[in-house]
Amino acid sequence: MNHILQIDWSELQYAVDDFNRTLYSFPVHIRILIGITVAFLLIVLFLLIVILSSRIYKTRRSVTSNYLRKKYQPVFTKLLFEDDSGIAAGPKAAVIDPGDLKTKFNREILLSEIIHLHENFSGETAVRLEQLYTDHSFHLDSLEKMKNKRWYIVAKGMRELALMNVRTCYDDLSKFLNHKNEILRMEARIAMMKLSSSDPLAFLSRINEPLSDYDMANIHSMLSKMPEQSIPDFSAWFNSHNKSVVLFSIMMTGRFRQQDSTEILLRMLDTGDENVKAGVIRALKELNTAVAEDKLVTMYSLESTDIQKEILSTLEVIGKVKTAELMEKILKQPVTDYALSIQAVRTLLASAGDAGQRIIQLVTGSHPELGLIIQHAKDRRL
Amino acid sequence: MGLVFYYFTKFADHFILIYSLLLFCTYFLLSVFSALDIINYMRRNSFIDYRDLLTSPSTPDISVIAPAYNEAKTIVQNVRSLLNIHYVNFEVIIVNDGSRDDTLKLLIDAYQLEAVPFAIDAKLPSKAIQAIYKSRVPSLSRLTVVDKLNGGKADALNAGINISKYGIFAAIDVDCILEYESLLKMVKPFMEQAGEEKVIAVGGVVRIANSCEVKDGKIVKVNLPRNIIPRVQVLEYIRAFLLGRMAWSRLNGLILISGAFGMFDKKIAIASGGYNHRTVGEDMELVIRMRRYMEEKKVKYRVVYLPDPLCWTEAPSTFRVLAKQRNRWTRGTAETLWLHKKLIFNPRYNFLGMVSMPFWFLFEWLAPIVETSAFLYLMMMAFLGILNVELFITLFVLIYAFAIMYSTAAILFEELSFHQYKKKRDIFRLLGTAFIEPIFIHPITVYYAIRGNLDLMTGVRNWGEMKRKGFVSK
Repeated sequence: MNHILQIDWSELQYAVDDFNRTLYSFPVHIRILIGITVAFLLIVLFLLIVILSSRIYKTRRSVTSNYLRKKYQPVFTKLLFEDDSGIAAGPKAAVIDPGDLKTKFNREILLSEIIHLHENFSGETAVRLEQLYTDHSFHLDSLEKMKNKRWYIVAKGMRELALMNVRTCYDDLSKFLNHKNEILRMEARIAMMKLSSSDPLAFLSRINEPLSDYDMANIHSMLSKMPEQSIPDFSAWFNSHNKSVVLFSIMMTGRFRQQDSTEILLRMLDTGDENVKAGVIRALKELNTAVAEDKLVTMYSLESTDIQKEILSTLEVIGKVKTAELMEKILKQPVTDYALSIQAVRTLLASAGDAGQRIIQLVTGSHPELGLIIQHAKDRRL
Repeated sequence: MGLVFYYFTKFADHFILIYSLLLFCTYFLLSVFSALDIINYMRRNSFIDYRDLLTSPSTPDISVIAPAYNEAKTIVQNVRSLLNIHYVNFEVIIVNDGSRDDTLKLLIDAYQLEAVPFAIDAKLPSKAIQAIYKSRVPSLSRLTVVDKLNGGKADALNAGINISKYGIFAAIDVDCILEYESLLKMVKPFMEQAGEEKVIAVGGVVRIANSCEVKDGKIVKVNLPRNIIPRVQVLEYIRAFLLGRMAWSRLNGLILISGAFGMFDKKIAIASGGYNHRTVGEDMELVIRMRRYMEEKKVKYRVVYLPDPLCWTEAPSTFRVLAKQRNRWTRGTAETLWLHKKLIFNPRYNFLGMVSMPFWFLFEWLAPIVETSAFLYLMMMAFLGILNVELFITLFVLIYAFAIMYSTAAILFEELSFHQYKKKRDIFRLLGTAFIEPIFIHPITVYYAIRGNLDLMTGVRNWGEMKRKGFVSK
């Protein structure tokens, strides 16, 4: 056996020398190409190892996570639904086996399980989970994450603290309101809205970066989950230095039907900013502000096509006699924009009791497209 | 004569070597940029809840436009699937492009359609529209069917844009299967623009659905195709989308959004002239024209690509159909590059002119021609008995090793990011495919590309009908 395992070093040396001789017999450019090929093949080998390791890691993670979930499911159920559970008896009760909290990997799995449960419960059950979170020092993990250099870890930390209602971190969160990373800005806003007890939108006065439509959707989604009394008066931000905050506030005024802001909105119709003007007109539509009719009819002819479309759409809801007169005037002119003419017909139909009669008069002797436009406008499916 | 031949061989040897090395470097760089972008996207996406968009007044409305030509076999089911997309407010416009089969009749019967008077604002040119249909059923109010004379896909899309109501439109192949949140994900980049930079188009990754299980118009189980032809295409698609287009998206140099699924800003698309029906590469041509328009107007813009698998399509499973597809792709690329030749190496068009267009010219359109020429050159040298065997073998092994490395990197990206192929066996089969593809399938696709160029020169302009087998329904 020993004899078989004995390596003849001189023979190996000879093989290596032979290989070197062959290699060096090639011209330099061939040797370079061989070198690159070997490098590629080594990279392939490395990539294969990473693919296999990734599979192994994913399997291991899934096994551990299933094991911990199975182990703690009954514990958490007891904690959430039974009055005499350890957590109710007082803080610092060891609900989770300290051995399972030693590794970062396990702590992450358990933390995500607690957060997942918290998302599905409210009231006393949620408070118990929050206590469990602090008792096992998960909040320290989250706070630690907020100090990390990597933005996605910081964002995760913020989200955890907000979800688990750790109000003490409120001031730390505000530092990220104007961060260059938009996800951090977003997470900071969400967290501050969740943790604020009285003024969830206080941050609007402090943001310098413009809000995108997505940011607005995100804040609106949070607001719609809040009790009505928490919704602030959005007119407070109509004069904000940040134009996107102004646009958002106008939009929310309409969405949350804040009728008290109607007068300010009417004054804002004189603004030179097209986006703000369009937003105000839309808000007046949502607020069903009948008093805006005169102003909108007067300004119509001075505006761009986009604003004219907004005006017509709003007048369809609030318009009466003056609107009908304006619509007739518009429809008597040659068609330049189909969408505008179709909207004009719809507005006329909504604003005048004798719309049918007026339309018949319009069609007689008018330009040929109008008949089709009227038919189109009358079909509400289009 | 002998001296000329000597210099010719010297030039050819060096050209092949330098071209190969340049190609390797470019692809290597692209994969690095892709990796960075995918990692960034995955991290950002883990914080996004797309449900926020469903209730927001700031979420834009979308027109989904799907041209249909002789789709009688699957049209009713496909339209149902489109109507079930998860989104706030959208319309589905099916443009029947003069089908010679029962496509229109089936739609009329299945969705209780009736012709309606429609005032069409024809901002883009298209063949005559014969009728526009809406359903009598109120719950199907999102659906509009346009019946028009046959004019090709680009023409049908232009007709769809003309009758669409909303400011953003999604152009899709009617037989594609969209993922549940696909529209929400695609619209998000349009909503994220807050500064000066305008998002003009967004593309999503298209995946191959052959052998996947489909239930009620949704993919319920992802399987790797059993047939080698679509399996090779799985690899090609992963490479093209995850390694290629993601990198171009990061560099803001993307000029191709797949015709199977893309979303566009309607105003910019109309301002740049809409789809061009003189080319079979209308998808790429539109993106280039939109970019060109923005460059000429000197407005900051972006074309974004998302790495999520958002759209599933059936890939050719026979060499005959594959040949038609590749032939069309080659002609489309060549026609588009020719139409916009002014942009290539033109500094006025910034990155588009100096990097994106030259890349497509040198490494996408020219690559099969260089490969074939190099092969013929080597054959000639062998025939004359002056082939440098050492160089030939080394270069061959080098290219083969690079091809495997690039494919393995693509598989790794897929494994670490979206992990669509859950079965271990599928990953091993995909890796196996990476080893055999460069030798057995790639030469065939190169041949199809060459045929495409020859057809273009001889004036062949047809689309090349794609016969589909249909999905495995559960």
